[in-house]
Amino acid sequence: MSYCVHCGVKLSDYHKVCPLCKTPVINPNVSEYAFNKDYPQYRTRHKNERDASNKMFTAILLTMLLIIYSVIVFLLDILITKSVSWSLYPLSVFALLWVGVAFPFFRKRNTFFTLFSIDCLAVTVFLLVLNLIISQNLIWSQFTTLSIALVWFIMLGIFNPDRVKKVLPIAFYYILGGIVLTISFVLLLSSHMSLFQLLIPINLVIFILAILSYFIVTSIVHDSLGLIMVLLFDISIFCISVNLLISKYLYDIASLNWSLFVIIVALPLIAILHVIRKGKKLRKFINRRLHL
Amino acid sequence: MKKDTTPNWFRLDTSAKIYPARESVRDTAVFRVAFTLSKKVNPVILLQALENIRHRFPYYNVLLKRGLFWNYFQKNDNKLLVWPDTPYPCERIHPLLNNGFLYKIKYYNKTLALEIFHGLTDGYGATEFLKCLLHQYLFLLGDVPENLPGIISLDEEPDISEYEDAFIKVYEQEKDNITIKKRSLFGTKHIYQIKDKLMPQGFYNITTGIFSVKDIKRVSKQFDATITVFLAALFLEAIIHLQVEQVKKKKKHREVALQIPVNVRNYYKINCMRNFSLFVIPTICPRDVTSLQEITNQITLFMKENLTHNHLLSMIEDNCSLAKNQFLKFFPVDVKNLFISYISNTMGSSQFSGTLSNMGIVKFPVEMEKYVTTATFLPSPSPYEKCSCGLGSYKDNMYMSFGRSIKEAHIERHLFRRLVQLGVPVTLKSNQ
Repeated sequence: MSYCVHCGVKLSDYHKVCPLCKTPVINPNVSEYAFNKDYPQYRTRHKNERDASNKMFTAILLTMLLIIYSVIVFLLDILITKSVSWSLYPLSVFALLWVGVAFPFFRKRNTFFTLFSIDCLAVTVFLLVLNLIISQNLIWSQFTTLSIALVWFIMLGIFNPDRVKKVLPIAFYYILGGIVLTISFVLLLSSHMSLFQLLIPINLVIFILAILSYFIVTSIVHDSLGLIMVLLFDISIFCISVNLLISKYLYDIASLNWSLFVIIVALPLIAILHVIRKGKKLRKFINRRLHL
Repeated sequence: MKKDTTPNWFRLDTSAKIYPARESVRDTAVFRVAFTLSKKVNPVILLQALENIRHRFPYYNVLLKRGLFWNYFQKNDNKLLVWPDTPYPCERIHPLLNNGFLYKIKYYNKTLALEIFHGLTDGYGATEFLKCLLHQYLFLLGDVPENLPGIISLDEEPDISEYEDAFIKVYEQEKDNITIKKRSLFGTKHIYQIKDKLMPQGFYNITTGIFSVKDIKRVSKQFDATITVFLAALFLEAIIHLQVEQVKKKKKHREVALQIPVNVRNYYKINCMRNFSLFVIPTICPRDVTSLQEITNQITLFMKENLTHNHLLSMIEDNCSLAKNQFLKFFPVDVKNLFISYISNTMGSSQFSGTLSNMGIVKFPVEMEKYVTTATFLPSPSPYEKCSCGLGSYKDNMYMSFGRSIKEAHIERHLFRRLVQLGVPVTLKSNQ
């Protein structure tokens, strides 16, 4: 038996520190395995493992919501038009939403840059698909793809300079990349004089949304559901802006068409998330019902 | 073969109704009774013993089902399970992973433990159940005779008084004698609650202090108090000290309060095996007290005033108000659960700073005594009060087990150091 010099209490043989004040206990007469503990050993649980149930809960909840939406939209399209037509828009939006919002929760470990890369890829694919569905050939999506590539290129240099340095020096990386991207832009612009009508406004919208979201996330929202709400809000605003700009560029009239589907999906999702986020009891309730 | 006369389903008793509503990963509503034996526990024989006593406790071998207006318990015929113990006790019992049962029998080395959902029973019922299981286990090992006084006999059928709702029964009998008005639901006080950040979900630090009953009796006598009152006073003193540490401005100091469950079976001579406990909450204003003696005096006075027939009746009426409420009666169970959970979390748990639950003296027949060395009781974890304590005494020792969902052992440290100062040697066991 040992005693804690601070607390004066007698401690069981297996204590290496006093459970009350954490003072180390040194008892040379007790060998490490000469006693039975009152409780089994601690499991060494990784931090991510502890949050696994919560993450899985969010991932499953969001996936289920999106699947329900997709099935409803798909069935409605088939029932109304007897073919798959307009439902392709919302379905591609759902796919983008799933990659951006639900997929990170399925991953064991997320870093900012991997998430950012996945999102860039998803947005690029989404815009290419959208362009293909609308006009059967790639026109404006070339610019968006190139813009996204430019942003990703800059971010890679900032967040993963070590990886870049393995291949070539960082200065060379930026110079070489800058040249390649500039040439691509010039080549594209020579065929489409859309710089002032399309490219700059879209990038401006992205810039403003990024700044706005940054301030909201750092000052008002502090939880994962709130973050998802901000993302959904960003996606909605971005889609509306892109839709207005493209229709203005193509037909000289700023009108909303495909982005309405995004809003129809995003607004109820934002509302649902808001209710779940504000209602702790409701969250507990869902947790209990799903036994997670 | 005897015909099974026990019903296939049971209503949740009056005070059990809140537990399914507020139960969560953090607020598990699972408490633990554990005995340390003289020999290592054999899980195969333990499972056989559990199977043997199954028919005697139909009210514990149940599934929690959702009805339209209320949850209910349905007889569970699934295979019984025994579990190896875990480092963090009182984890949430997941019915799907436990064949639907709302209790777990756990074993580890010489420890035999029962972790049970509070909706099924309180400390008394759990202890009797575990005693019966232990007796059957020892009987299968050939150590004790089949029938012993003080242990529930397996030959008898469960009596209706064991599983009926004792609160409603007493309320119906005594409702004309209720003279004191029930507590106001909306008259809530601002009570200090420990400010520490909660540990991650599932973590529950246990510290058990073991001291001699003789010593603590002697010290309690010096303060003119019973053991429970004296330890409650020490607990409150620790909370007051913690408040001084955590809240620097004296103006912001709030009252401190302790929830003390009271087993009311003795008051009404009812042998109920389900929930039949009430709570008293002695509250102390830190500005009014300067010494441990003053705190002890205030609690003694409070107990004298509140543990009277009339006060107990008013508390029973208060407990029954939910079940008897005609307005709430026809709401769907989920709506009720939301309501109950809200009321329980905002106006229930915020009304005290900690819990001190006294299981009382654990007694075994002489034949069994030599096989049992310790008896501990552990209350369920809660994110609100953050630190709760279970008391129990067996043979010459008292076991004071603290469970906390926070990292620092503020309360335990103060309390056990104070006991040592007062001349009560304390031995510690823990899972840290």
